[in-house]
Parts: sequence; C-alpha cells; structure tokens
Amino acid sequence: MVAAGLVPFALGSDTGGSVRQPASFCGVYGLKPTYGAVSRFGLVAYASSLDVIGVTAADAATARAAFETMRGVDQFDQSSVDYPAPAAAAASDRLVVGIPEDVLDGVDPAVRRALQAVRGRLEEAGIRCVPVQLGSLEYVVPAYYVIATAEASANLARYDGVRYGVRDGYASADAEEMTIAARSAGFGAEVKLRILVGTYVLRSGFQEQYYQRAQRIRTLIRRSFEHAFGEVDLLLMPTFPVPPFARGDAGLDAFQQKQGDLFTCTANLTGHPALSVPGIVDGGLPIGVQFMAPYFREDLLFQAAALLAAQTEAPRPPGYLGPHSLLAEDG
Amino acid sequence: MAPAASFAAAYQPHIGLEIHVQLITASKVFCQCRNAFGDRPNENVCPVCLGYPGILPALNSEAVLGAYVLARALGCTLSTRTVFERKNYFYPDLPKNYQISQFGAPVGRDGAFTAEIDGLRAPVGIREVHLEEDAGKMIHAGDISLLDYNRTGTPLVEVVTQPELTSATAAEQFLEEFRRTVRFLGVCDGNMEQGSLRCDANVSVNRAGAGLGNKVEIKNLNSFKFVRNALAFEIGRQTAILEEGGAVRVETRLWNENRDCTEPMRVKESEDDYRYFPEPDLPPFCPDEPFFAAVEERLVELPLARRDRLREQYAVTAQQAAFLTAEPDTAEFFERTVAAGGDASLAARWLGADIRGYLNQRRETLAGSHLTPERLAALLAMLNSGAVSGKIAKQVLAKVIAEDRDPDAVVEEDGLRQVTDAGVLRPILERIVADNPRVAAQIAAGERKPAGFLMGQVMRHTAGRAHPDQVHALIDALYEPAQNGESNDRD
Repeated sequence: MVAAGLVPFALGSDTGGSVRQPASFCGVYGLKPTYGAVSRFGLVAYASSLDVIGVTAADAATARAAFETMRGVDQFDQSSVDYPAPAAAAASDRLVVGIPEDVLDGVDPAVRRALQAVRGRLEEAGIRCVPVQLGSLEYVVPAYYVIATAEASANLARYDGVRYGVRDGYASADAEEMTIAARSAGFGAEVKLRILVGTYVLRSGFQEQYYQRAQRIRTLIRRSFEHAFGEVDLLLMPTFPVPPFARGDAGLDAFQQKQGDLFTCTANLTGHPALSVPGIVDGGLPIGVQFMAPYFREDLLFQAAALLAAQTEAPRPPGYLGPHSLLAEDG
Repeated sequence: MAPAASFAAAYQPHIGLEIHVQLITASKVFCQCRNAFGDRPNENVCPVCLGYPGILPALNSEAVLGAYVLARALGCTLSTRTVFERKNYFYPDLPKNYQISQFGAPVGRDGAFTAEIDGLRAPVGIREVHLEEDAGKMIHAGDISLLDYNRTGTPLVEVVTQPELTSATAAEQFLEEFRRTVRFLGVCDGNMEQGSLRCDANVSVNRAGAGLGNKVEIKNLNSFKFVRNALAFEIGRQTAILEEGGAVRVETRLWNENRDCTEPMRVKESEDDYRYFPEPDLPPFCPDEPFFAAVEERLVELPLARRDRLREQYAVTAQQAAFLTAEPDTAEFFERTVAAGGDASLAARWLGADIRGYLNQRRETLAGSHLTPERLAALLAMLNSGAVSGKIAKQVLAKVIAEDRDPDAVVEEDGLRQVTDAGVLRPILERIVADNPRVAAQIAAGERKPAGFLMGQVMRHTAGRAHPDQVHALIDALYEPAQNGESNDRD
C-alpha cells in the first residue's frame, strides 16, 4: 500500500518482523519501536511480550512523525512507558555503527551486497563502521518461537464460541463440545500448530526444558545486545537473510521460513527499536537492511536513515509508485 | 474399650482450607467497573473484564493494598516483587479462558493465624496469600445456561492454609475467626451467602502419625454449617473406607446439602495442569516504602487480641467480650461509649441485650442507627445516677433510636425524669388509698398485703417514673401514722 502510493504510511503489528520484513521487500521504511514505547491497547494480541505497533512509510521523516505522535505512556497499557525526548542529536561524524560480522553466516550474497552498499554510504557520510561480536544468534529463533507460541496459546484461548470465535446460533452441545467445535472450525492449520506448540511448552514438567529455558536465552541475548550498545551507537544487519521471494512459493521450507525471522525477531526478543531502510535494488528486487538502537533511541535510527537519504535517494524498484503518485496522476 | 472408639483414635484427619476473599474496593481489579454485588446482570462490565480481543488489564492499586494488608495480618512474609501469572483453563464463565492469578511469587507466604479452637489456641500455618480476578457466574435455567459477568474481575484474595486443622468443628471455628478478622481489617464484608467469602477444603484421613493421606478436595462450602457438616461427613466416609482396608480415591467432591453428604464431582487422574506463566501484560508489582507504610497504617487490632484486651481492660465477661468483638462496629461502639464516660459493664450488658434486640426488631445496624456512643454514655449515666429507672431507660433508648434525639432531651421534654420528691409522691399515694376504702381498712389493720398493689398504682399514675425506694418509704410510713404525725409536726 505504501509502496504503491495509496497511503503515505501504514501501521502494523510487528511481533517477529511483520512490519520490517515487508518494508524491506517493498523498498520502503519499516519501524519497530522499543517495546513499551507505543501502547498496545486495541491491538489484538498474538504474543504479548513481543507485539509492538510499527510504522511503514515511504520516507523516514513520515515514519518518525507517525511514531512521535503515537508514542508515550497509556494508562490502559501498563507495559507502556514514558520517556523524555533525547537531547539534541549527536554530531553525525561521532556516530559509530557496529556490524555484527560473526552472525552473517548463511546470509544470501545479494543481501550481503545490500549491507556493503549501505556501509559504503555511511562511511561516505563520515560515519565510522566497526565490526562487533554478538556471539551467537543460533538460539534466537527457537527461543522466539517458544515464547511466542506460549503466549499465543493463551491469547487465542478466548475464541471459544462463548463470546468470541465461531458459533452457529445457540450451542446445543455442552460447553466443552462447543469450545472444541469453535476452535476446530475457527483456526487455520498454522494457528493450530502454534497453539499446540505453545500448550506443549507450557505443560508442567516441560516448562524448565522449553519455556523457562527460552526466557533465559532471551535474557542472555538481551545482555549481549546491551553490551554491544556499550561500544557502538547503532547496529547494522540484514533485515531478512534472503532477497524477496515470489508470491506463493517462497522456495523455503517451513523451518527455513521461521529461521528467516532471525534478524527481525531478535529485536522483538530483546525489545530494542529497529528500522528497516531501503538498501539496494538487485535483479529488480528491493533489499532492505536493518538498524538497531539502544532502548528508546529511535532518534538514532532516524538520524542514520536521514544521513543515508541525504547521501543517495533510496533506490526504488521498478513498479514503485511512492507517496505522491496519486497526486501526480491527479495533476 | 469399644472397637469403634479405638479405630477412631487410630485415625487422624488433616484439613487444609482454601479461602477466597472478595476485596472491598470501588472498582474491579483490572478495570474501572464498579465492584458491587446484587446489581442487574451484566451491568458492571466493560471490554476489559469481558476479555475483548485487544484489551489489556490495568492493576488497581487499592486491590493490591488490600491483599498486602490481609497477608500482613496473617503474619506472612510479604513479597517485594509480586508477579501476576496466567492460569490457563477453559470454562465458560472465564471470558479469556485464562485467569490472571499468582503462582511463583504471590503477595505473601509462610504466615500463621491463630484462632481459639475448643478453648485452645495454636497457630495454623498459612501457606500463601495471592491476588487474582474472580470469574463470572453461570446460571443454569432449564436447558440453557446464562452468564452474568458482573463478578468477573472482582478482586479476589486466595488464602491457603497448611493441612493443620484436625476436625470439622476446628475448621469451622478457624473460619469464623478468619471471617471476623477480614471484617475487622475492612478488606472484606465476609458475606458467605453472597459469596464474598468462600471456602474449599482439602481433607485427608490417615493412621495417626503416618502423615497425610490421599487428598479429597471439597468444593463450595458456603456457610459455616456446610463446613462443619461436610467435613464431619467426609472424615467419617474416609475413616470407614480405611477401616475396611480400602484406599481413599483422590478426587474433588461437592457437598450436597439436600442429602447431607459429599458426592464426587470429578476424578482427578493427575493434578490439573494450569500451564502458569508470567502475565506479559502486567509488570511485576514492586512495593516501595510508602506502600509498605500504607499497609502498616491499615493494620488494626485483630478480634482475638481485642477480645482479650476488652476482658482485661473493662472486666467484661468472656461471653460479653465475644459478643462485643463479633462485629468490628460493636467493639468500636463499646470502647467509644466507655471513652465518653459510659459504665463499661452496663454498656456491655445493654449492647448485648436491649440495644441488639431493639435494633434487630427495627432491622437497623448499630452503625446505621441514631444511637451514638455519646448518647449511650449519657443514658447509662442517668441510669447510674438514678435519674431514670431501668424501665424508663429502655423507653428512652427506644425514643433515641426511633426519633433521633439526645437522651437528656427525651427525659426532660417527655417528662421522664424519675420522681423522688415525697411532696409529689405522697399526695398521689394518699389519693389512691382514699379511693380504695378496702385497702385503707387493710392498712389500718396493719396488713402488709396491699403494699404491692399500692406500688403498682403509684407507678401507673406516674407512668413508671416514681422512684421505687421513695415509694416504698412512703408506703411504710402509712403503717406508722403516729410517728409520722410527730415528725410532720416538727417540720
């Protein structure tokens, strides 16, 4: 919608990358704010500790304006927080961007090219890019899926036919049969799979092995990012490990698809803000890259995006219409 | 020794209670709906307590404070970081199909609560105190089921005791003391009929000294009578099974009040698996110093301690002390009456008898009536000084309560002051004698018989205000005309 120029910006829920990955694939900007920066009140919950309201926009300034309007504490969301606007932006030539080269194994060459191109532009703008070590992101996706499905199994339990979900008229069966019928008919195969996984990892006797272990992994990954942000202002990494795939068949099996969320869902797991920006157009397809910043430092993300845009206008793929296309047609 | 007795002595019941306490708060625990009983069904509901998709809970600080106050009063170690968790189970009265409750880090743990059980006092361990949301109510009407969500989200504190109670009557007495305690603390109205206070019990009988036996949970013991009867029945049932060499099945049973027995509800193959995990929508609650100070401020002298103190300080009887501390309002009223100058012994007696009776008759409560401690103190002072008789005092009390007037004003304005003046009483007596020649003749003959009649008549003519001792003296004087005449002459 944004890339087609139908709307100047759009909101979406980003639980594991659902704003940033499409933005990357469409050559636009996708922001996932810090967890707690934007109220979740009104958002139909999937995985409550990972869900964030994000913004997709054709340019970083619009994304920023939308974010600044939405952010802040909400008495109806006790996980929301207020925080002061950051002090005046740091001088650009003082910014240091870290590139976690130790976690790029298996990243598609085209995506590596996008990363290199953006790095080059940053350095031209006088920003220092340095390698950083994040250790391993090997356990990010398993931990993410354990936590997400656990929370989803509870969040989706209300669709039982009593008040929410599918039910034809008055239920004639008893409550248990009604619930079974509502959930069997109302949920698709992938949702059922996730509910089953989430229910399994929360079973008593299995929590230590799955849910609690995932939470410990989450803590360790958060710490390694906090440590990295002690050394650099921003991290630069792929948004998605492979270039955009065709509609329908992604050429990835179910496991590879989940593994593809590695770079995006890391930010959901740690809570850090992240912004996907257009990188290159390769073979006619846009490939974005992602910046991550310390908690509540969305301003640094926008600063980097603005520097890049000033350097070179964001590369647009064929078919990209942009925000002013409708106006242009009218004129 | 009879065989039955030896068997009974060989078995030991172990009873633990799970008590649910609905907190008195203005609003529900996670939303701003009114927390009230008895409103029209589904009147106090909103998207939050109905669990709409997209809603989030927001913790009510008044409810957390209530939970901490109760945990503190029960001697628990208070959590400095208490965590809410989702308890997952499917039930139609639970809109989200998970209950926000606590598991790993409840408000309080490891407390002890002492009740007087059969005259003895021993602390009963409190395993934990946690805060959760109440569920809705299902009403079954013929072949349909209706749902009332007014109760959904009512702040509910669950208190779990150790299995240290050893008889049905012990459990009942414990629960009675517990109920008084939550009422004194002002955290719960203790109304078991309306479900503000609910109780489940875990019962296991085993050979004495052999530890806990197989546990049977008994649900919904919603009156003291049910607690007593259900536990007595269940202890008997389990004992009989063991005596026959059988094994008690682990299960949940319900008390059937119509058949006076417990009946199986469902067999527990294994423990229910509620798949608890921390509620991601609510950050852990970490009380600060001002919060703990507020908890301390809400603590009051508990009823058992107050009972002891009243006996010691005011020399009231054990029975009076028990009555005075049955309700927090009564204890407060009594002490304020004494503070206002009222006689403690009289106040205790009047509160327990005439005042209670009259208020019951009018369906009024002490706190809601026109009687104040100051008014009672004034009335008792008049009674003590002889300004009014006991009988008149009761009339004054009725007028104070019915007409919202001060006792002094009632006595003065309605002319109820006791008449002691012989100058007023003697002419009345003389007229009565004059009007009854037969009595006059009896007196002349020195017969004592008419004395009672004369007393009654004087009282009738003075509307009960005549001072009985003075009337007695005057009647006596009728029998000694000569001496009287002499003394009169000297006047």
